[in-house]
Amino acid sequence: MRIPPSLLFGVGRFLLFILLEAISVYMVCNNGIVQRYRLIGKLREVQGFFWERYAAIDEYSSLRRANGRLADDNTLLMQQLYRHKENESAPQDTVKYPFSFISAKVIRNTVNTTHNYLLINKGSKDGVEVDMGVITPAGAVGIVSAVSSRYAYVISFLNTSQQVSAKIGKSNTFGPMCWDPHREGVAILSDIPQHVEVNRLDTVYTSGYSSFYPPDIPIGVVEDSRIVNGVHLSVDVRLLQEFRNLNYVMVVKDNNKEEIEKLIKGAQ
Amino acid sequence: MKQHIRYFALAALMVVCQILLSEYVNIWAVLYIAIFPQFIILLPPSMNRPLHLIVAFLLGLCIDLLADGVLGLNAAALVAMAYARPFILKLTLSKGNMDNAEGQPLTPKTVETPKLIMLNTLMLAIFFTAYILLDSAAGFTFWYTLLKIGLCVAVNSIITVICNIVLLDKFLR
Repeated sequence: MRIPPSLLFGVGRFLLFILLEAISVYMVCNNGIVQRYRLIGKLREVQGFFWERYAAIDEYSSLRRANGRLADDNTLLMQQLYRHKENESAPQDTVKYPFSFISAKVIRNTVNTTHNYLLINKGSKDGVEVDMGVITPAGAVGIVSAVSSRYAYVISFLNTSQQVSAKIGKSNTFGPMCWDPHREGVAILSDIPQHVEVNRLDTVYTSGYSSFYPPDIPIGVVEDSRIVNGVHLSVDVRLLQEFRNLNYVMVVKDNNKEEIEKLIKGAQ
Repeated sequence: MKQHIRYFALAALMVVCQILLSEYVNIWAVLYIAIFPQFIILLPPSMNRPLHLIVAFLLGLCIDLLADGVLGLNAAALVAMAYARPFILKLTLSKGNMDNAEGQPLTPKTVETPKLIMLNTLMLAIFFTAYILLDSAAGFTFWYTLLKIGLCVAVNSIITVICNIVLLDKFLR
């Protein structure tokens, strides 16, 4: 039986369509942004050079606002320092504070997509490594996904694939918190047991149960809560960090990370 | 040859415009303005279809690489739109229109404006449905996804019609 050529062409076109779609979807599913960084590392270096200059002009034009934010950051730092001093009276253990920080300037920041990212002006030569957390005094910002010698690519917390382990201040109850892409500046803290008392304006902190972020960094305040599936509470958290005005961040280095990972691997 | 250079220049211009749009025009997270699908829509109906699919894939990949996006997202949506184009063309244009546009780009010069609007809207509906469904794999609600698709198609249809009438018709003349 002879197969009509038009049918063969049709099947060929369909197979080409399936092949191209499969390649595209594969790239999307395999954390495309990281892949992109690896693919065009050099291009990012060039873009970083221009964005850095653009950011400098932008920074100059917004000095007044920056001053205001610095004052706010100072206040928060003072509060943290005060709390730290209070804790000094408590019995000390022999373990040193395991986190150190690398300050960096944001030269690129997207906020309007569901896969947002940042580019910061510190890279491997400054000690920045993949999988380090990025914070400000007002919350968790993201996780370093790729580094070049002078820049680092950070997957923003405003990304549907990101989550932070967070706890509610009063009760110390913790759960995973992720960004709500439907509402600007709001995240959802889930898996909180129903019996836990959650009040509006309670502060939400990082739990510290990950090597990305130190504990007790204020992330946001409780806006609302509701019972989900009759078992857990889902808490709406208004984020303290205004991501649109992000200028300076701190990269978190967990000095004990290697040791902890080694221990976990050994135990497994 | 001259026409090929014009198409290439138009594709490059659309990529640059899209980069500038994603850089400076951030109206709302719900609204994604995409002008580059217009390039795939306007290519002559008689163009080799596998080549059309490959051009769509490469253009989408180029946008993914250079503008703010996830690698593969625009490429997947644009390939879906390019694959559906012959069916949409059959649905919207008459045989007379197709004959008239033989070897010519689909602009108001070769196709009546109402039919072009219909063609654009249906093509953009396919593009944004594919794009938003892939992008919202994280689990958007049905109504939010529907609102986003509707809004993107409506706004982008208006933009592409304006682009068609004001720019493309003159550029490809």
